[in-house]
Amino acid sequence: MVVTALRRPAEVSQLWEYADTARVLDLRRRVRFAMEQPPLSWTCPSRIDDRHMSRLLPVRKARAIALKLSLMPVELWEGQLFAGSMTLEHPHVHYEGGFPDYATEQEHARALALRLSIRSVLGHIVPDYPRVLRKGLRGIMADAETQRARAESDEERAFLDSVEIALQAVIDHAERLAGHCDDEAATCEDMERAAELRQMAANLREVPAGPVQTFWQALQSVWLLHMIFHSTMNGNAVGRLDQYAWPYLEADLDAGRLDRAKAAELIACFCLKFNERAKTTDDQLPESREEQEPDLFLGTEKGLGSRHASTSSQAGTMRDHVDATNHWLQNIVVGGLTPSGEDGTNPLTYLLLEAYRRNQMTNPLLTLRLHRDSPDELVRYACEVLKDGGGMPALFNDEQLIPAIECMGIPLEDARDYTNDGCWETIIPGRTDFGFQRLSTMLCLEYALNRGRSRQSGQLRGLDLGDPRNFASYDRVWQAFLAQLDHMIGQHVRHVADTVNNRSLIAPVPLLSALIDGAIESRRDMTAGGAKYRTHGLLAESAAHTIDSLLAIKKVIFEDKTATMAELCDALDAHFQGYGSLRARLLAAPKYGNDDPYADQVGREVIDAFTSVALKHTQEHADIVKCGCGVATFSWYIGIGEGLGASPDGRLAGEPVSSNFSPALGRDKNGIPGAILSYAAMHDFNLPIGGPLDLRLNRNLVCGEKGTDRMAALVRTFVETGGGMMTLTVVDAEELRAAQREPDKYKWLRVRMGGWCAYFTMLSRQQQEHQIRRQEGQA
Amino acid sequence: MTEGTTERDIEGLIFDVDTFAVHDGPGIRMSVYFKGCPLVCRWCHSPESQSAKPQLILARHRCVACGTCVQVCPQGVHHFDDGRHVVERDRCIVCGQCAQACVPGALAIKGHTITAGEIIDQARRLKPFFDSSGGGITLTGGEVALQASFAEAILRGCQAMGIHTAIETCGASRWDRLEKLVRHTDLVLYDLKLIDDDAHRCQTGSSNRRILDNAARLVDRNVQARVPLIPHITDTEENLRGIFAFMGRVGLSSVALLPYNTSAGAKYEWLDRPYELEGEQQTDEQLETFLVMAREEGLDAVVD
Repeated sequence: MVVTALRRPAEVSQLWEYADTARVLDLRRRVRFAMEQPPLSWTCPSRIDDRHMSRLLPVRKARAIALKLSLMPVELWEGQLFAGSMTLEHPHVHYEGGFPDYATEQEHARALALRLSIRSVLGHIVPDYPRVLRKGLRGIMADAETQRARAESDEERAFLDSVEIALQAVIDHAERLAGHCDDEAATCEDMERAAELRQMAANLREVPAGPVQTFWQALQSVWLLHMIFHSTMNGNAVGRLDQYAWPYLEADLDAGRLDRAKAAELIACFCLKFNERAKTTDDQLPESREEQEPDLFLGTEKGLGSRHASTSSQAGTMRDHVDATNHWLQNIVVGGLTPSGEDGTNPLTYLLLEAYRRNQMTNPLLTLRLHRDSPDELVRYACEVLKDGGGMPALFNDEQLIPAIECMGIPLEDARDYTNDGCWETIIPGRTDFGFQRLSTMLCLEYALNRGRSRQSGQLRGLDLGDPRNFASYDRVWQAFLAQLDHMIGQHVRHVADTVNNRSLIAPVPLLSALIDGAIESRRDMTAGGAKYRTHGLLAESAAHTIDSLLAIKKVIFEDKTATMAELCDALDAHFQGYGSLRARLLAAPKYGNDDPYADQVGREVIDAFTSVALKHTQEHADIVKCGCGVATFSWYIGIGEGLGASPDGRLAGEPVSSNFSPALGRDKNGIPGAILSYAAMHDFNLPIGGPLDLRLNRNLVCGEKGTDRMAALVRTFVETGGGMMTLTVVDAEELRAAQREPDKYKWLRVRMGGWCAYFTMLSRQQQEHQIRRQEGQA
Repeated sequence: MTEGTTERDIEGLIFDVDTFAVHDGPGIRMSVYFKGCPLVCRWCHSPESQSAKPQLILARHRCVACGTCVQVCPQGVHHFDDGRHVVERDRCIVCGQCAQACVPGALAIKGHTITAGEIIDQARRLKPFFDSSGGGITLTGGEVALQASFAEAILRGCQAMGIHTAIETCGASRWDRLEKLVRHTDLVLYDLKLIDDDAHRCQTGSSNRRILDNAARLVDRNVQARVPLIPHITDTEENLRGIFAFMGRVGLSSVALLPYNTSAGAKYEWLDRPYELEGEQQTDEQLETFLVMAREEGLDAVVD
C-alpha cells in the first residue's frame, strides 16, 4: 500500500512541482471575493408534510432531511469540478441554515424538559467514508434491507426505514445535481467544459449511490456527503482522507487515467469547496461590533444545549461566537500509522498539505499524525507549510495517543486508526458516537477557596467545605480541591450515564447512523447506542492556571511562608487591589511550562487527580460509554477567563486563560523546548482525547533552510519526548499589529485559534489583542 | 575547591539562558550568557553583559508607574519625577526587592549565581532536542573565560554526556585560561572585530594583541571566526581584508559575517546608558562583496 519509493526527497518534491491551473487560480480568487459579499439567506420549509406525522420520529427526521435535499439549489460554481454546494456564488445564497421541523408538540415539550431540541445534533463525528467509497449508498441500503428480517420491533423497523429514506434522499439529490450538470453542458459553448460537465453528471449518477471507480468520484462522493451533513445540522469531520482515498488515486495514476497535475487540480478544487461558505464581511470587523458585557450566568439560566449545568467557567457573549463564524469542524487528518502498524504516509498526504499551503485559506482544517518512523521529509514539509502561517497542520503524536486510546478499551487496530472529531479530540472514525464536556479544574479550586461559590457570579455551585482561611496545610487545600473535583466530575458522569440515549428522543441521525459501524447491524440509531463505540471526553479546563495556582499556594504560603491563607483569600476577594507585592510573589512562584521538575511534579499530580477521579466515576458505566480524559479550552479562552475570579497564580479576575494545555500566558520563560518538556511530563497515556500545546514561533527563529531544519528537529523531539498534540503558529507580533492598522492589506493573514484557524482581521478586538500578547510572550 | 565540593558545585554568574538559540552554532542550542566582559565594545547589543556584577535594569515600556518600587526599596533608589521613573543607581545595593515586587516585570535583576551542576542538569533534559537537531550547548556572554573554572566544569560535564559544546569568546584573556576551555569545546566561535590595534583600543577599550595571539594558537581546533559588521567601523574594506588576510596567514579557515543588528541599542535604556552608534543593516550586495573578499583569501565564509 505504501509507495516507499516515493519517500525519497527528490521524488517527493516532484509531487508539488506543478503549476496551479488557470481554473484553480480563478476559483481561488472568486472564492475569496465571494467571502466578502453579504450572504443572502435561503428560506427552508418550516415543517415536513402533515401526511408523514403519523410515522415514528426517526422516519420523520429522515423525511425532513429528504425535504431539504429535494429543494436545495443545485447550481454549480463556475469552473468547479465538484457539484453540491452549501453556498451559491451568484446570487450569494447560504443555505446551511434552516431545517424543517419534524417533531410533535409533545415531543418538543418532552425535549425541552430534557434541555434538548431538534437542534441537539452534536456533529463532531466522523462518518464511515471508506465504506461509502467501497459499497456505495445502495450497498449500505442493502445491508439495512438484510436487517429488516431480524427487526423485532416497530422502533427497529422505523430506524431501518429512516436509514433508507435518508440514503435515497442523498441519491436523489445527486441525480438532481447530475441533471443540472447535463443542462449546463447542453448550453455550454466551451467544448472542454461541456465534456467536464458531462463527466461530472456521469460521476454523480454512479456515486455516492454505487462503489467508487475513480479518484474524482471518491472526492465527489466525500464532498457531497460532507456538504449534506453540514446542510442538515450535522457538522461532521472528514477523517483520514489520505488513507481512504489514496488507493483510488494510485489506481488512476497507474492506469494513466490521471496525471499528477490533474490530481493536484482535483484536490485544489475539492479543498476550495470547503471555503465557499466562509464569511469575511465587514460586519465582522472589530470596529463594526458592539461591546457586550459577558453573561456570567451562561449554563445555569439558558443552558448550553444539552448540557445540564455549567461545569465550565465560560461566560457568554456573542463575541467568541462571531469570532468562530468560519469554524465548522471541517478537519482532514493525514499521515500516521495504518491499522496494521505501518507508516501510512503516501503521496496524497503531501498533496493535501500542498493544497492547503497554496490555497492560503482557513479551511479545510488539517491535522498531521506523526510517529517515530514518519519520513523526515514529511516532517520537514509540514514545517514548510507551518512557516507559511495559519497554524496548520496541527501535529498529533501517535506514540502517545495510540496507547492512550487503547487504555480506554479500544482494540489496537482501531486505536491506530484514530482521527479527530473536526476540532482536535480523538475519535475512531466511522465507528464512534462521541460527546464531551469541559470540566473546569480552576472552578474546582475557586470553589475550594471560596466556600463553594463562583467568585464572578457569586452563585453557590460547589461544596462549602469551610473557611479556607483556616486551611492549615497544603494538603488541606489539596483535599478541598479534590473534594470539589470529585463532586463536579461525579455529578457530570451520573448525568452522562442517565441521559446517554436522550438525544434519540428528539434528534435521531438516520443519515449518519447509516454511515456508522454498528448502527444498521444493531438496528438502532447512533443516538440510541447503535455505534460500535460510544466515547465521552472529560476535558479539564484551565488546567495550566490550576497547576500554577496550586504551585503558588504550596510555595508562597506553605513553604516560604511569606503570606498566610487569610492574606491570600483577602487578596483574591480584593482582586489583588492593594496586594501588589503578594501578587508579585505569587507570579514569581514556579509555573507549569518551564521544564521545572518542582512545577511539573505538581502539574502531574493535578492531571493524575483529574484522571483518577474520572476513572473512579466512569468505571461503573464502562459498558454504556467509554470515557477518556483530555485538556481543553478550544477557542473560548477569553470567555472562560471572564467567568473566573482572581486566581492564586496571580491572574487577575476576568483575564483570559491559556489555550488548551498551553502554559499560562507569558509564564513560560524557559523557551519552547522547556514548554514541550513540561507538557510531555504531564502525559502517561492518560489523556487519550488529547489537549494541545499551542505554541507561537517568531519568524526569525525559523527563517531559511536552517530554520526549517531546526523546526523539524523540534517536531521530531516533540514526538520523541511523548507529548500528545502540538500546534505551531509562525507569525510576528509586529505583523499582527500592522494587520490591525491596515486590515485591508492583511485580509488573509491567518492565526490559529483553540482548535481551528481564523482570518486575523475578522476577529474581535479582544481576541486580536490576546493573539498579539501570546505572540509577544514568545518574543 | 574545598573538601566535599565537586566541579558541579562551582558557581558562576550568568544573566540569561536561551533554550532555542538561533545564532550560536549548529542545531537547537542552549545558550548560557555569562556576565562580565573585558571589552566594552561600542556596539555591544547586550550592555547588561559587561559588568561582572548583578545589575538592576528597568524596561521603561513595561513600567505602569504604580509606585510599588518606591515603597519597597530600602535605599530610596526609585522616585517619579513628573511621571518619569528615575533610578538613582549609585544608591542601589541590588537587593532585588523592587524587582520581586514589580508585577508588570519592568524591573529585574540581571545576573544570578548558578552552579555548573544546575546548568548540566538542564542540558541533560534538553538533550533530546540536541540529538534531533545536531545542536548542543553554547557558553557565551559576556566573556566565558572570565569564569574559566565554572565554564570548564559545564563543558566537561556536557561532553561527558555526549552533548556538543561550543563557546563564544572575544579572545581577550590569558591563553592558559582559554586553553582550559578549548580542550572541552567542540566548536570555538571566535570574535575578530578590528585588525588595527589603535582602532580596536578606541572602539572596544582594549588592545587586540592578545586576541590575535590567541587566535593564532587555535589553528588546530574547530574554530569559526565571527566578524560583527558595524557600519563604518568594522565593515570597511580595509578592515575586512585585514582580518581575512590575518586568518589566512595564521591558518584559520572559517568565518561568519554578522550583519549589523539595527535594534542593537535597545537594551541601553535598561541601564540608563546612551547608545551612540547609528547605521543601517548591510545590503545583500554589500554582504555578497564581503563574502567574495573572504573567499578570495581562501576562506570558508558565510553570513549568519
